[in-house]
Amino acid sequence: MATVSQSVPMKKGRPGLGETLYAYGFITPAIAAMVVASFLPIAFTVYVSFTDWSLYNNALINGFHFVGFANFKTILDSLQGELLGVVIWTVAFASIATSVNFIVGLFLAFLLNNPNMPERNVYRTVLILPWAVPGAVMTLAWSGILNTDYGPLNLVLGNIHLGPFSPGHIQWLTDPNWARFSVLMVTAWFGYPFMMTACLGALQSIPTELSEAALVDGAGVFTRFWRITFPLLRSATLPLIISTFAYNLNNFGAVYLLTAGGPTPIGSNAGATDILPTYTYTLAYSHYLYGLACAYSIVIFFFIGTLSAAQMKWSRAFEEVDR
Amino acid sequence: MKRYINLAITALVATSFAFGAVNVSAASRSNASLTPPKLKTGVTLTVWDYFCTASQHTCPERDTEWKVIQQWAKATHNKVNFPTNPDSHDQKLCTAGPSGQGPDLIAGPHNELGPMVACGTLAPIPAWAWTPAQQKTYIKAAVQAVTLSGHPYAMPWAIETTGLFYNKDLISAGAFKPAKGQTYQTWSRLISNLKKLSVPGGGPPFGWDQANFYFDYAFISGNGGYVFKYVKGKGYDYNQLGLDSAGAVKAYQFLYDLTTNGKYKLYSPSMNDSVAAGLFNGGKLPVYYTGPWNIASFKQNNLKFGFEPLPSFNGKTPSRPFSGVQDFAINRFTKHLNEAASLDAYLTKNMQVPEFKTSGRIPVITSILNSKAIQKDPVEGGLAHAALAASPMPNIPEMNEVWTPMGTAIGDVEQGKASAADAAKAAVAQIKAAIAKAHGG
Repeated sequence: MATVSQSVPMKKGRPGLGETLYAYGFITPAIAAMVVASFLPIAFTVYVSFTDWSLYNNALINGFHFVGFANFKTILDSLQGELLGVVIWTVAFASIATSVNFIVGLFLAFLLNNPNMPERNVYRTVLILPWAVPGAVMTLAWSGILNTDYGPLNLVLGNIHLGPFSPGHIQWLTDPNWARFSVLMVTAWFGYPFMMTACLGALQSIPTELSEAALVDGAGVFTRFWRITFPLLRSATLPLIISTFAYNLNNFGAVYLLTAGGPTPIGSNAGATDILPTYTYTLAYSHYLYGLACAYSIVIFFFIGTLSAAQMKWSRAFEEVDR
Repeated sequence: MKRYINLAITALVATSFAFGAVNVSAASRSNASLTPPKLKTGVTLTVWDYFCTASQHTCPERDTEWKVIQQWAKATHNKVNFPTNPDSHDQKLCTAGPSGQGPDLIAGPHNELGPMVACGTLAPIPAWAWTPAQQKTYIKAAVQAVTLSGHPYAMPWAIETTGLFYNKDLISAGAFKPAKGQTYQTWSRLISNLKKLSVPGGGPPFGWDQANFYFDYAFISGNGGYVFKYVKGKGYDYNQLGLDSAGAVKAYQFLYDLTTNGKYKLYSPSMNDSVAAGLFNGGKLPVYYTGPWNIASFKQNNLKFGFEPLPSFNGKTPSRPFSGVQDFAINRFTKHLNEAASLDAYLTKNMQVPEFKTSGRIPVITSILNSKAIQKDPVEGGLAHAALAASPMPNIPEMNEVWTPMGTAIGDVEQGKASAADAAKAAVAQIKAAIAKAHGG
């Protein structure tokens, strides 16, 4: 065992056994915590997904059985039915929510990046507020605001009369299409401050000489933005966009607290605004089907992981860049 | 070196697979004689209840319960542990019980008994703790609620049901009086009385959580429908559903007619519990169909409120909404079955009057229920009457499959998205499929 009583000279090549053991000793607590808190539950989930553990088939009375891939087969069969709609809506929801967040955030950051506006800090504080409120509570408040006949939003809109059309009776949460719109609207409301702050930081890091040089060369506002500002912005914000997309694929709270999965057609288990996590949650907790729910979580993991990995590869956002 | 680390991690992962396959079995003891056995002294029991969450600073119901527990502990020279209540304690018992981490007694509403019995964590109440003669002194609904497959799995101590709370400033009690010659007020008379009201602010005269099956059931039972057929001696038969019968379809149609899309036009289809609670607590809603758990907030808002049972459909038979029975059950893995049963019997018998004084819980022993103290109080007397007529929720685990499909179906009918007959057929088919699937079909 190497002793460290004098300064150890820098060794070239592989470290000795003593040093290696010493190093592993230091990271053992962290690894132990990760194993207990993360790896063991994941391993247990994988195990349970191959069983039929449910309220009726559990260890004490009937004993749950190892059923192999039966749960996954159920999921594949469901893919031809209601699960396909849920998957399509999940991807659509994440894409639209992320794009809207980014566009609104970028637009507001652009407006706030004006050095000639002394009151821009006041505006920035006000615009950051949706980020500062507790998400779960505010989502529940939104579900009250969007109530068709007793919510304040429709009460206000009911005072607008454009000829024969009065928008005071929009069924925000009970009509399937309007419910999807409401979910996107509330997610955008919660998400744009993050994008705005990130874009603001990125915009302020772009040197102004580039734009001024382009202005001298006769470039218009749009050309300056698209050819100069946007490419420089891309490298800073693309990782954020990808992580926001992955977050929105799993955005259980925004959907469940607002519509609980949305207006459900009769005879179906999947609502109009159900994304994969909320659909799985309903299956697991309304019907106590633990084995099937574990199988679903594994499927969701692979689905989101593959999407995110493909995005990262395609956009080259995480590659080392030589500038 | 790396290879060994990898092997160690693989071994760790592999052992975790083994955890899931471990079965813990415990001996289950039963005692068929009616004489109480000799109790041990010096044992420590643990009781789980569900009164109050950790965030509530004062919990008068828990304090009352603690006093009764202390009386038993002193009389039998034992100790009782009373930790703060865990969330989802019924699901926790399924996993905590076999591993020895569970309590000896667990409190809860009776519809949680079905899942707990299904995962095998409850012991039947020994015959000596609750003899058949003693069971006769309890109201029938309470005994039926805690009995599964012919055996009682818990002892009841309170019953609650729902009904109409009304604001005395906005509507008078006379609106609920039945017609001459009839025993109960009818819906048609109440509706015409409600429509004659002038509500401040132009809001609806009646509010409730209309797409919640727990409240909707009163309309179904009033028209002759039921959830699962109750076979005497065997319990609820989950293969026989009464939610698509002609009476049930009439009930769904009636619920549609109550909204502004239907005949009676009382409230809009987007009425839900938070809207109704907000309006009632703000003094703007004359009648609110809910349960006694809201009484505390009514008192906090200084409302002058009264209680009336739901109207009947024909004036002759009372309304039968769902009732929930509060009970204490015994963990099958307890190490002190006789002491736990003795505490269960003592607690449930002696907690009824103190808890009524504390928070208005309706007792389940018939003689106490009919006593002057309860019948005198206008709100509690009304709740007691309603509870006697109410039907307990089915306590079998298959009941879990009913709530969501029925809530969705009735919600769709109320919003005019589906006809009553179509919704009933589709919902029952969905429930039957879910039950079949849950049993491995």
